[in-house]
Amino acid sequence: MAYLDGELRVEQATAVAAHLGNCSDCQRLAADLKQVSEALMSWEIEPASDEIAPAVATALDRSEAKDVQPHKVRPRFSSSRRIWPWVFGVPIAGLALLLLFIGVAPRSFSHRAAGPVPPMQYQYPAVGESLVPDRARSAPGVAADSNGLFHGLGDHARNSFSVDGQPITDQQSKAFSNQPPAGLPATRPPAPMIARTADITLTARDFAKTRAALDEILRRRQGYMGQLNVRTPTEGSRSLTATLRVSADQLDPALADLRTLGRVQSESQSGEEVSAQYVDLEARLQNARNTEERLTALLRQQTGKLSDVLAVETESSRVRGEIESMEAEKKLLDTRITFATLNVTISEEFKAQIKMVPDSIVSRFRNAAIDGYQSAISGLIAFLLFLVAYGPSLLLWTAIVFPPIWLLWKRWRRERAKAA
Amino acid sequence: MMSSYETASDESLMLEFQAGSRVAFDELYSRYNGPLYGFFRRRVQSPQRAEDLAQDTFLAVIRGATRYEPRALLRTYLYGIALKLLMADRRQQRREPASTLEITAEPSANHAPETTLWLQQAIAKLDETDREVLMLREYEQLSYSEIAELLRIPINTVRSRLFRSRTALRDHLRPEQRNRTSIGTLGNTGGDQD
Repeated sequence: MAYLDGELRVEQATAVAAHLGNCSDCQRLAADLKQVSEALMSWEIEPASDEIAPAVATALDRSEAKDVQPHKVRPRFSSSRRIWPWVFGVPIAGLALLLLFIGVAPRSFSHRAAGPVPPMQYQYPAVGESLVPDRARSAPGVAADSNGLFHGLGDHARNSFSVDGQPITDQQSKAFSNQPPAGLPATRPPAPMIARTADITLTARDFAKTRAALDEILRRRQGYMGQLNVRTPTEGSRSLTATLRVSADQLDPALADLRTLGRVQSESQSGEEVSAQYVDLEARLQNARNTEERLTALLRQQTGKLSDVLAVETESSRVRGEIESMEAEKKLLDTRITFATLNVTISEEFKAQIKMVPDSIVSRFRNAAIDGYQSAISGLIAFLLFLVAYGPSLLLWTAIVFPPIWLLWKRWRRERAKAA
Repeated sequence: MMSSYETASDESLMLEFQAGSRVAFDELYSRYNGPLYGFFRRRVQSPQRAEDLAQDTFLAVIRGATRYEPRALLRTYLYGIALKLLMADRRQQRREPASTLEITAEPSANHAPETTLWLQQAIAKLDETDREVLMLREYEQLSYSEIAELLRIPINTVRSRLFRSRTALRDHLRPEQRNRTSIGTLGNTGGDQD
């Protein structure tokens, strides 16, 4: 495909062209893709007007009238007058750093010092901060040497590895690294990532006022409404169920605000720790990105068959799809952690309504008459259905059973009459 | 001063315009008004809206002329502005319920001939992001690296989306092509073109 778009380097394009001459499958695919491009070109657009639109002409005139000084593109290298500060400044800064290095390094790392080795200034993420690297503070800046011992990075001039001008040994470094930094907070484990959820059920006296107050609370706590359902039955009290999303640190204040809206029937909170899930997702994402990079490298140096190239492209496309899916999942997790979910149910206090005027007696009689007529008709129809459904069976059994019974009865009457 | 603006590069014309040359802008306008109009015309329903958006692009160029620096191709710069205007227009259309027809900014189909209606419908079936990459490649003729820079995605994503969208379009177009062939070839057996 890149070959058809002219995006390959010369040597790659030559190899692809040579392959296409021999592979019918690839020729078919190339022909299909070319056909698609040709089909796309059939969608023509009417030409635009050649004249400059009035609005654009007016803007041009206005910009000319203002006589705006053009923004001069600064050349990459300054004029000679700007170079001189750099010419003198850089060596002076370097000299200053060197003096600092010479002055500080022996005192910091001398093994003849009586006291403990001065601490390195590590920075740990503060309590409550998440594991996400872009939210943590700057990394401690340590690196492991070949023995796996950690040394400080960054400000190498101050934390150098020299003693009396000689590089310190790993033993000295180990002794140094194993000492806890003084005056700094103890090592804290990274803060867990929690997706918080809260449920609260309230009964309110003034439903409309409570509804308005809910919006106000959302606005104040910088949240948003995820879902809202309001029921307003003709008889009975109104109710509302809503799913609110508020910033995680605003959950408790939001709950406190909601409690003032009415009588709390029930309340619960829960937190789902997603740290492991998040870390796993990040690891899988990184792996997928590495795989994508390797596939890209393969594509760049690919000189084999076009079908292999296409196979790598297909795989690359699949991996890209996975990456995008994982990135979306990560964004969703971030949202769940950043925004807590608050499920709110508010019901109005039930107030029975007195009907001052009873339903009309005439209409009640009318309704009863209609009901009676309908039930009579239903009964008749049911009887007729019964006859239709069971009539034939009844007739049959009557025909079978009745004659013998009738004969017996007649004989019995005759014998009675004779006896009489 | 350029001897002939017609042969000057886009970036040099823009710098000339920045220095105050109206003729340089006229040349840029004549080069890009058509392509920008085509860009918008294929993405919004109304021709008038497309024209307005193309004008807005040039207005943005005029307003930003003093801050322009030739870091990338002018073409990429222009289409970058055009994309931002298109997104803003789509967001505005979503907020206005009356104009629901333009919410997804599907390709215009009101007055297109029948031959392209099925093509536009096939394009509309594509995933939105894939569709944008495909259209930038096929209609705006941007290179992979330009598309990557414009949409702020890796170049491999451009390749994979292009491949995906073209194969998807091929599958969408195939039944239509068969139907059109069998309708068009009256008296023939109307066999499968494949």
